[in-house]
Amino acid sequence: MSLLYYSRMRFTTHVLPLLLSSSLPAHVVSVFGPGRDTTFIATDLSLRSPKNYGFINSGSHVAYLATFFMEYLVAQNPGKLALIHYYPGLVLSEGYQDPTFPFWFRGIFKYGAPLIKLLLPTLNGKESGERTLFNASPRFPPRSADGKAASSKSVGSIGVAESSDGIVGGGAYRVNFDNEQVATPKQYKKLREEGWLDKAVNHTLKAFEEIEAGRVFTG
Amino acid sequence: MVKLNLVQSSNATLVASQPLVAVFVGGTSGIGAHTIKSLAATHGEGGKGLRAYIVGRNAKAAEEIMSDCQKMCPTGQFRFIRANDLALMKDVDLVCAELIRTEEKEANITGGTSRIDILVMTQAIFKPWDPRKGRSKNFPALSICFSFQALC
Repeated sequence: MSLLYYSRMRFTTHVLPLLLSSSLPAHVVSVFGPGRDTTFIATDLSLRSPKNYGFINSGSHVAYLATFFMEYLVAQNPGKLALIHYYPGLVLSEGYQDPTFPFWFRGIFKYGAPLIKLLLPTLNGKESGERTLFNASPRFPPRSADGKAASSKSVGSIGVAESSDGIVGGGAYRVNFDNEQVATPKQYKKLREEGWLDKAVNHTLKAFEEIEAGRVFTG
Repeated sequence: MVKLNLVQSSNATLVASQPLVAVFVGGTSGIGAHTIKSLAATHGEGGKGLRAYIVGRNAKAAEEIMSDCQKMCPTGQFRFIRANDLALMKDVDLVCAELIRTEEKEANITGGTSRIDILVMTQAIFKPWDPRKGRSKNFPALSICFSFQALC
């Protein structure tokens, strides 16, 4: 969770002054997995307990926390910054052929590629690079100063995307491998009403603060 | 599905619009590496200018990627910033400080504003088996699964 969430948000907040100096405006793309948000363990956001930790739950919490923290950052910096949480699909890169992996696992991805491609959205490396870069396009604009929807619904022949909080051009985007939107699950409505956006942001900032002060974060 | 030709033409418009500064954290392999190569290839010889940073652990992989990029984009500046373990917030702090210093210096030399236009983060570890391998020694956790306990 550290590399996928805390590390990335820490990086973003550190270089924020440089991002705000961009005249584009700046785009921040975090490549992982919007849409994995399912289980939400309110009593253990960082999944400190080994009982709560697992592949599914960590992916889920990273997706929730990223959605909330990205919405916070765009609201703080209207007109300046767009953040994108991008699901890349399956990209059969060299990562699957690590020699420390068991032979059968490597074999599945080496020889099973045609079957995998039928089951999962799969991009080749070149297309993956192009689509990841495209997340910096005007399809994903920053939030307007008044927080209202973008006045234009499209840029040329490409539509303006909808933000994770339902605003067209709202600045924080959950994006699928094909650069279309990943819907924000319906349980977010209740979580927002319960104030989880602020709680998730405070949890994250508190972690940074404690560590910076040389203390051990226990939240 | 946004059609691939629209994706490509939009990327071409981006590199023709203005000089770009881009940072690729975890850009020494996988999707990060594909993305920086895609940016360099799209820029080619005709773009408005490019300065790209790769932040990662593998200096050799970074050198190879930067050399490929330099061939595709001869006027581009490609820089490597070495990280040790970005799961640790302290390392993120050090790397960011070096990145900011380097960018300020480069912007000074070339006469532009120091900035980041595009930040792409792909740092991750894909190790379903024994994720402790390759971790720093001060990482006491049973596995990276519990990495939060060693953030500092």
